[in-house]
Amino acid sequence: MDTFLSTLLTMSVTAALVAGIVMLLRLVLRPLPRWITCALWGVVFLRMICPVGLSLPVSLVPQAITSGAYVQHLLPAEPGPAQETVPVQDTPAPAEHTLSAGDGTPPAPAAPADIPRPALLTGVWAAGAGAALLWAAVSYARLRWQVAEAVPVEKGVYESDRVSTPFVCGLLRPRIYLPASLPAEDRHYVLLHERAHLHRRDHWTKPLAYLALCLHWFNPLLWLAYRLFCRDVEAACDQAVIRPLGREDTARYAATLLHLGCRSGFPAAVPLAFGTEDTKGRIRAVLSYRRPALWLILATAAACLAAGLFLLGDTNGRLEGRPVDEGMVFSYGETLPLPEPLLEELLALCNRYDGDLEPMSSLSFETDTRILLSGKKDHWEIFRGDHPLLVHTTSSGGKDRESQPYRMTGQLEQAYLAWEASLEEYLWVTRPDTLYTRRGCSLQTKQAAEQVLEELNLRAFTGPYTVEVFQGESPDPTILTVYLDTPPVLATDAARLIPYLDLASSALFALDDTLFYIDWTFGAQGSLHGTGSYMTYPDGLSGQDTPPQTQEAFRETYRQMKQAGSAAQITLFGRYRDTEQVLYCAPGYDGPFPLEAGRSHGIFSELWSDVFALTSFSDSQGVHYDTPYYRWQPQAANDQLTRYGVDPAQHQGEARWCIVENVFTQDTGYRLYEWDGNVFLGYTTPGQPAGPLSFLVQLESTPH
Amino acid sequence: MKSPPSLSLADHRLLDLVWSSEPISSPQLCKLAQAQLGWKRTTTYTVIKRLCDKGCLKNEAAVVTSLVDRATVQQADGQEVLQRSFHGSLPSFLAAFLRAGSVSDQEAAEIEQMLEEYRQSH
Repeated sequence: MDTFLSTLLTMSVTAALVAGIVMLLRLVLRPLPRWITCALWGVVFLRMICPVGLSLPVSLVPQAITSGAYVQHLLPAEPGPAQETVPVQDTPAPAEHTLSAGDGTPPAPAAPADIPRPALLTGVWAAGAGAALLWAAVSYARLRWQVAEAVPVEKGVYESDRVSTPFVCGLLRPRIYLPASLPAEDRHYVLLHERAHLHRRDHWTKPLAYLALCLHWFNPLLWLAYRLFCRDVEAACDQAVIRPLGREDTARYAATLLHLGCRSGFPAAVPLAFGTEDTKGRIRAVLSYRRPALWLILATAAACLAAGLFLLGDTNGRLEGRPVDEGMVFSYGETLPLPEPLLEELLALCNRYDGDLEPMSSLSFETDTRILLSGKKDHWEIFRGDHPLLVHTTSSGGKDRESQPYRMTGQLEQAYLAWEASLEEYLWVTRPDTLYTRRGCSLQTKQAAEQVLEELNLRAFTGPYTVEVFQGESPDPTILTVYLDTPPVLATDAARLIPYLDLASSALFALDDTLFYIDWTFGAQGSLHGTGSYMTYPDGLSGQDTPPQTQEAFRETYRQMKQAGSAAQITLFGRYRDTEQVLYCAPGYDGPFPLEAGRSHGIFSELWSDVFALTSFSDSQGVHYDTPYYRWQPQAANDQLTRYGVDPAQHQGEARWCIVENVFTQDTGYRLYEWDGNVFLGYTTPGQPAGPLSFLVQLESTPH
Repeated sequence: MKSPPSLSLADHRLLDLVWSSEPISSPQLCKLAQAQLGWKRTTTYTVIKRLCDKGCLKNEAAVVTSLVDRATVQQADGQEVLQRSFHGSLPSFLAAFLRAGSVSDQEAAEIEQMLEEYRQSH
C-alpha cells in the first residue's frame, strides 16, 4: 500500500468532512462578522496540508475518518512480485506448483507485468496537480502582461485600460490595479475595499488556499469550499469597509458594487479580483448589515475557536482516550511490532465498538498473550479464549497495577476476528512474500546474508550469531557459515533445534540458488576446543525435501520454520553463556560413529572423539589403550547438577559422579554424572575435583 | 495630417513624458518611465515601438522625438469621446455637463468668450 497515496486520500476525506461541517456552521454564522467564518476555513486549510491533526482525546472528526482504514478499500493493493513468471530451470514449469495437488483448480493468475497501480495513480495525481498549478501560473502571467503598462495613480495604486475590474496583485509588494475609466466616487470605495484586502493579507491567503487545493484537485467538495471561502473573503472585506461608514456612505458603496458588478468577471483563481460574482448578494448584505453586540461576537469567536480546535483533533493512536505508543504481537515465540496500519485499525475498531466490551469479574483461565498494546501508563493485552479477551492494566504510582478484564462480544468480537485475519495475512503472507522478493538478490555478501537472517528472525530462536560468507570459484558457489554463539547444551535441545535448522536452511536455499551448503557452527569463531557443526545441503543430503521454488511453497516453509522454531528455543543451562567449548550431542548416538558415505556428519562427534581421544592412546609398543577409566565418587552430586540446571523434580534418588581419567592423565577434566539413569558430561579444570563446570551436557548413552 | 489612431492610456502617458523632455535618448526615456510610471525597460520599448507604428513618435539612432503635438492629440481624444458617447454631437456633449450642473460660472464665462471669438473668426 502506497503510504503517500493513502495519506493523501485520508487527508482529503478528512478535510472534506471538516469543510462540510464548516459549510453548515457558515449558515448559522451568517449574521455574524464574516472574519469568524474565514478563520474556520483556516481549519479546513490546515487539514488539507497536515497529515496528522492534534492528538486529542476527543475530536469532532470521527476516528473512522481520520484513521484512514477505509483507504485500502479505495486503493488497489500492490501486486505480488514480478518473479512469478517462469524461472529459468529445467524442472517442469514451476507455475504448475501453484495448482493444488491435482484437483484441477486453476492456478492463481500471475501478477501482471505492467506498472504497479499505486505508481500509476500517483502519476495521475501529479499530472492533475500540475495542471491546476499550471492554470494558475498561466492566469497570473496573463495578468502581469495586462498590467505591464499600468500607470501609477497614487502610491501602490495603478490604473490601466486593459483591466476591466479592480484587483490586487503581487505577494511582496502588492499593487492595486484599477480600470482607467473608473468614476472618482467609485474609485474611492474600490480603494477602500482593496486596501481592506491588503490589510487582511488576503493577497497571501487566497493563493495559499489555492495551492492547497491543487494538492486535492480530485476532491469536488474542496473546490466548492474554495469558492465559498473566496466569497467569504469578499464579504469580510465589504464588512470591513462599511463598518465605520454611515448610512449614506454605505449606500454609495452599494452603488459602487452595482456599477462594477455589470462588468465581465475574472476567473476565481486569479488573485483578488474585485469579485463580480454574486453582486446581488453582496449588495443585499451590505445594505442589511447590522453590527451585532460585542458579547455575541466574543462568544461566537470563542465557540468557533473551540470548534476549530476540535475539528483539528485526531483521536488516532488512542484507546478509550488514552494514548497507545506501540503494539506487539506474539507469534510462535517471536515478538514482533505491529505495523502502523494494523495498529490504527485495531484501535479504531476497539473505539468504535466499545459498547461490546463486557467487563468480567476475574480471569478464569490463563493463556498466552496474543497482542500487547502499550501506552505510558496503561497497557492492554488481548488473548484468545472462547471469546477474545481484552485486559486493561493501569499502573498507578509505579508498581501497583489494576487490571480489568473484558470479554469482546457482539460486533466487536466479529470485527476483532476479521482484524485478526488481516494480521494473520500480514504475518504469513505479506512478511514471507516481502522476503521472497529478494530471491535472486543473493546471500553472497555478509551484509546481505545478515539482513536476510535478520528478517527470518533467526535470533529469536537461536540466540546471537555471527555470519560469514565464503565465495568459491566459478560458478561462484557460496558457503554460508553461521556461528551460533549460544550453544544448545542439552541433547533434548538438539532434538528440537535440528528440524528448525533444516527448515531455516530450506528457506535460505529457496532464496539463493548459489548457496552450496550452510555450515551451522556451534561456538564462536576461532574457539579451540572442538566446535560442533551441522551442515545442510540444498539437494537433500540432510534429509530435507527439494527446497521450495515457488512463492507459495516458500510461504509454507516459512510458516513451518516459525512453528518449529517456537519449539526450538534454546534454553541454556544457566551459567554457560560464555562457554568457549561447544559440545553438542545428538540423541541416539552412543559413541563415535563412522562417517557414512554420502551422509553429512550432521551429528557432533567431536564430543566423543575428544573424550575418547583423551582417554585413549597408543604407546610406543603400539599398545592401544582406549578404555576410559571411571571411578564413581561416593558423594552425591544432586546439588551440583541442580546448580547447573538439571531439574531435580525429574529425577529421583541420588546422583553419582566420577572423574574421567586416562592412563596418563589422571584427571582429564571431564566429569560424568549419572542420575536416575540419565548421564551427563561436564568439564572443569583438570585437577579440581569439584571445580566449577564450564559446561554440562546430557548424554544419551551409558558409559562403557 | 491623417487622423491619429486611438491611443491607450499608456500611450498618452509616454507621450506626456516625451513632450516634456524631448529630444531624449531612449535609455534615458526608459529611466524616466521607470521612475515616474514604474515601467520595466521592455514595457517602455514596447510602447515606444507602438507609438512609432502609430506615427506619433520617431525613434532614430536611439533618440526619441514626437511627431504629433499635444493639441493634436487632445483634439483627437475629444473627437473620439464625442464619437463614442455622443454620436458626434458637440451640443449633447456640453449638455451632459450643463445638466449635471458641473460647469462653474468662471468656466461658463470662458466658454462664452471662446464661442464669441469663434463666431467672429468664421
